[in-house]
Amino acid sequence: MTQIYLYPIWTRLWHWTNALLFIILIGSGASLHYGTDILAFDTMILIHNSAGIMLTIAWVIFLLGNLITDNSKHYRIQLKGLITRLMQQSYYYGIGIFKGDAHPFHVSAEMKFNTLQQLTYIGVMYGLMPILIISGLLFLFPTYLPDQFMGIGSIWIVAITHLIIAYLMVIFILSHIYIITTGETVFSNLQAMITGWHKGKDL
Amino acid sequence: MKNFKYVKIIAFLILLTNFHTGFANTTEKTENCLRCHSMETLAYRDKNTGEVINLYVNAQQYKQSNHKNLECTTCHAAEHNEYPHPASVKQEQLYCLDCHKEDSKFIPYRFTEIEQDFNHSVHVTESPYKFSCFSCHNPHQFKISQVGEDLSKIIGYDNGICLNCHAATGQSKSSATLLKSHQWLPNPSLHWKHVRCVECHTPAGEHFSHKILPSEKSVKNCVECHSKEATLLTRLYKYRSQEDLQETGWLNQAVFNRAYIVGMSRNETIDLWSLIILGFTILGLLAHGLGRFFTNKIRSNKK
Repeated sequence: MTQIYLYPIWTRLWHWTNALLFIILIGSGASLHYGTDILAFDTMILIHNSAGIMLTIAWVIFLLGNLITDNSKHYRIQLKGLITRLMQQSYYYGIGIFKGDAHPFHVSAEMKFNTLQQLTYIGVMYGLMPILIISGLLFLFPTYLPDQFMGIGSIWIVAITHLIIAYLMVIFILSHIYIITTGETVFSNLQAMITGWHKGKDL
Repeated sequence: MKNFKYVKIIAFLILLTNFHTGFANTTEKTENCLRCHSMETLAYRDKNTGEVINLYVNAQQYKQSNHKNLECTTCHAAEHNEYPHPASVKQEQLYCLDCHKEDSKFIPYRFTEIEQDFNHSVHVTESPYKFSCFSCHNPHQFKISQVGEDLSKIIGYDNGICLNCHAATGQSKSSATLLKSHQWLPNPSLHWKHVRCVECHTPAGEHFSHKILPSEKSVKNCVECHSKEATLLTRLYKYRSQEDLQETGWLNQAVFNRAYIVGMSRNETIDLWSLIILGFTILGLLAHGLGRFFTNKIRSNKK
């Protein structure tokens, strides 16, 4: 068994802050959306908006962290062999994992994500997150919006965009929580994100 | 009629005491009129119709109104400068759009649109009473609401215009009738406190319409306000945000966001499909997990 220090303290703090904020945001967001009586409506708005602003700050920290440190290397797509790696990874998750096949990807200090993970995280962090944040901010400051966009009330467009991205984020988080159990052991990836050390036979 | 003569004599005497000041400026001219017309009891009964004609102008409210800088004779006939007023002034017919339609500075207020909407309003098409702008708007008190004003006061003022007739004791539409006709509305008092009557009783659109709808055509479906196409979204949400921004600043606006209304992000189709996809995702992940567990067990047993 070998181990590698894969997650520096800032990425772990950022990750767990994100996790906490997402739980708060999904809970309060669902409550605001469906109108439940868990807490007073105004309190829910306060919680959701505060958590949303903190998530925005966390996202900016992530961007800055990737600029300042070499963490950005994990988000650089290697086009060569991309399709093959994707197919291998998909085959593993779809079939190989049930047959006990060896994991097609080997974690290293140079690349901590397999190709499927990498594309998902890029999509989430550089695609969904900015849309979620911008739609959230426009929700808070609608005075800068036109009344209508293509004949539809622009605030409704903002609301529905925020809603769709929120649903996609829930799907991502559920998948993410499940996928981390596919490591060396069920909890090895979780432990790695707590301690920073990735343990495995495949290193 | 005898009483009216006394009123005229008193008013004349009051005016005489003020003649030495002359009519140097608008305010003074207005003040001269108000010396009589700010008396709460200034009124007479029309001998033909028997109707009491109220001549009272609340001076305090007038001085805060949008018309405060206008001389009285800007709208009223110049004959009013004579005292006693000639009998002909009683025939005077005033119409807001005589001033408001022509002047280019009133274009943003869309008076032409207001006139068209008003002519299609249930007040004009169905009401047995003769309606004019003055039936709802008192030109001596009218003050357009501004961003930054207390929203509850604006709502209270606007709803007061409707309730002045529709909840008046002894009228066909008393408070009890009003409550009965709004029985379907969940939490009516909360709605009346936070939403103007006209939000539901006029057609939805970017701007407020003066086309008051008959009750059967008014909004009765919750989702028309609490989700897509929402009048509340286009009219109220931005207004409330602007108000918050001015009153409380950026951070408070962002954190408290009083403009959000429950259900404004609801869309049945998107919710349904998203929940179905979410459900299948959970089932798929559970099935995958169980598959791993059992195949792993089988492999362990084989070893």
